[in-house]
Amino acid sequence: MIQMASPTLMRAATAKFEQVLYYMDAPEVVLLDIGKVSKIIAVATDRISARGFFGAKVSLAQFRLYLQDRFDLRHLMLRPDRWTWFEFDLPEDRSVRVKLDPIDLTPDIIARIIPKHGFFARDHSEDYEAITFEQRSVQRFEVDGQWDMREFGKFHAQISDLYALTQSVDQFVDAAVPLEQKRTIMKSFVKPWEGGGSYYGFFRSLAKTGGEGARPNIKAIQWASPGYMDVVGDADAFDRLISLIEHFADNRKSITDNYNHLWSYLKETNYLNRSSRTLERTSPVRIEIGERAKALGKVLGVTSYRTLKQMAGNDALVAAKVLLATERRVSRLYDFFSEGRVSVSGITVA
Amino acid sequence: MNFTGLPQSCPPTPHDVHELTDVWRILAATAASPYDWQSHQQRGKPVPAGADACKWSSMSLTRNPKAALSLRNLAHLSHAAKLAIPAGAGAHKSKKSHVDFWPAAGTDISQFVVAVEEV
Repeated sequence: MIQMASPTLMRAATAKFEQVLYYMDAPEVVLLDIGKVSKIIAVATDRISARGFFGAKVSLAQFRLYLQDRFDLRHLMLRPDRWTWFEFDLPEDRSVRVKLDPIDLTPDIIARIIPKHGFFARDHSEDYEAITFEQRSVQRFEVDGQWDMREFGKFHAQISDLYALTQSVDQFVDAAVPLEQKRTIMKSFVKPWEGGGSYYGFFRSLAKTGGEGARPNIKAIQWASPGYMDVVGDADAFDRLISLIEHFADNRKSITDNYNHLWSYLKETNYLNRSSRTLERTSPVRIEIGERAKALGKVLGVTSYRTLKQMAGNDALVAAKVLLATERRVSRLYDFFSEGRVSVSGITVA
Repeated sequence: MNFTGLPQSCPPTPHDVHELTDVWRILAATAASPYDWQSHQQRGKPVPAGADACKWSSMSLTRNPKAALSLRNLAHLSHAAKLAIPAGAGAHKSKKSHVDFWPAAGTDISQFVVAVEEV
């Protein structure tokens, strides 16, 4: 049995009927609206249960992926990312909120109610238009010189990490983004921060929490030299990323100096491989780390130290380490451009 | 084309009256009964919350019967009748794999069955 909390302990929830997604003479799959960032997708159960519908609570991000046929309804209802299931009846009056009764996902429910594999959003009888998919565009990176497959992977990894970070910062500072999403972003910063694995895990978590919007996807690669790599993502995010590389090229010395200033201090105080657990809030070391990180944040131009510190739950050391990791990624990307192995039409990187 | 017993403004505008092929009506058994060709409105069921009265009076057809039967609430249905409905037999409106069909007055849809298969 899969359960998040005992149904009896969960407070009564309500949701707003949004629309029917699939008719087969009668509504068989419906959608409810519950909060700003969650939906309940439900299947009719009136012929197999005493209740009218059985639904799973999913995030808007997961629902978007379902609408793109990335998985079927069975998968969505078995593994909803909110891990909550309800049964309910639709009220006669459509304007009345739907009363939801929490229920555990039991083997019996899986066998009797969860759809079999093979029902995708493409099978819906009704369009769902409330979600507008952001315009994703193709950014072409021209490649030249000698490359091996590992280097292509490395190049894409640097792009992906910086893309996820800048998109997450945008969401974090956007007043319209719900608090719940901001908290999810902050959770990505919760890592041991005692070695390389944390950095990898951090950027991966950011890309995951940001959903499709925080991940640029490779659309095409022409392996020949000269060739190209087409990456699909948000046009503004690509513009900003390329600006960062240009900015790095123009301010390389100052950025590198500030990077070394911070890195050497963490090395000297032994905090490169240690978390902030032993670091007092008012200790001079913490204050010095904050000062040096602030200076690096200022010249790097990705985001301010202050914002990163907020995202990191007010942990100066984590914010400093994220800034160092960000600098390394911008620097590696810059290397590809400065070596003449990558170029973007209309942009000159010295 | 005449229709009887439909709600006002139904079938909706625009709709299609051309020939309709490769569509399926899902059934409870190999042999369709008259009940299988009725809409919920014809069966006397009240329109539920969230449902559209005009859709309620249509007969649902599908181009993907397998997907429909993956829903457990429809598991009592086991077969699908493939239909080739000639032009003028009724009005229809397609969206993705689903088709709403409103038979014209006097149309007997069972005569347009070309095959019945277990799904």
